[in-house]
Amino acid sequence: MNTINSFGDLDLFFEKYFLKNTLTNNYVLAETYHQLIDDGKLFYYETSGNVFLLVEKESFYQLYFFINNLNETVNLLTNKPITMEIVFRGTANKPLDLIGFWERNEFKEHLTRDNLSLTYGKLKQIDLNNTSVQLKYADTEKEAHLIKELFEDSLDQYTGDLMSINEIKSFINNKNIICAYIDNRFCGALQFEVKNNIIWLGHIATDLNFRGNGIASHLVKKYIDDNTIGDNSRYQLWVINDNIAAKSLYTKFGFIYTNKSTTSLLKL
Amino acid sequence: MERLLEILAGIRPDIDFVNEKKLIDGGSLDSFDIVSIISELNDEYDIAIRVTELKPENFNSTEAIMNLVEKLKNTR
Repeated sequence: MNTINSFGDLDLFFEKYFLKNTLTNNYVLAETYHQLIDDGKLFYYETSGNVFLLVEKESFYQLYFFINNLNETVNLLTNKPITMEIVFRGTANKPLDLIGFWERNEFKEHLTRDNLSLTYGKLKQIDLNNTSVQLKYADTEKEAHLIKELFEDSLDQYTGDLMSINEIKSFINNKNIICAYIDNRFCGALQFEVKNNIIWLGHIATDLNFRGNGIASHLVKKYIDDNTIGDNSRYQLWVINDNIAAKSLYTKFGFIYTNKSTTSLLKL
Repeated sequence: MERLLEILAGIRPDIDFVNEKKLIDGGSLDSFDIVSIISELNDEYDIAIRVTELKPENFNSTEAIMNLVEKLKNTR
């Protein structure tokens, strides 16, 4: 595995490997590549027909591939686990040949997520009965640490896009994290972010000990209500495909599947 | 342009590619969609999109995408 030191080197890889019919999961834009190269976080592994880009994260590598030959064997040796996401349109289009290629190369299918979307005009009003749930925007150092701990305990460590404490503090400063309390005890949190006019629900979790109190429903309702500009306000999120309870919650609010899913693969 | 509109509609039938001028900046398309579009453009027009072209402004409208295709066809 070698470091990519310049944008020019990266461009040469694109020229050499990003061809007609190349299979790729690359969804990184040029600006992000610049930053990764500047930070020394972008690496590559090259075979005769394929190239693999690895982005170093805190506890794993995120992999992007450009595959022209599915018959090659790839032996990626790293000191951390490797994960990747493969996006596809609808379950009928799940790229089984590509997943098979990675399974032959020591990766295992990990989680599948579905993309759900809602426009405010299609919001379904629901009654929230549990009035003991109190909501507030996070604004303290203590809450930052509680949120970090809750998300780390609740979300997948490889594909949950876990946030550093500094990222959490930044979202707190932007009023992008809602906390839930019952009897003054912290019991849930929701982080959101506005990107390109879409209000993305990034992370949501409820403390195991407080499940069944409708906490997630309260959090989602506030996230929607507080960010509404008009009927065209758009909300989006990714939900784990077999998380029936979460999907039911979002459907209850009117979220619908956008026919876009992503499967993650993992090599430990 | 008509063929390009067909391709784009095949990827995201829910979007008005004729009139929408802020496909990326307005949130209609995301980077995942760009991957799908690039893949289709490579196949249809036999072009190779370089990493330097992976900029939102090249995908904000059908016209911008067409301009990118024409530019790459001319530099083959």
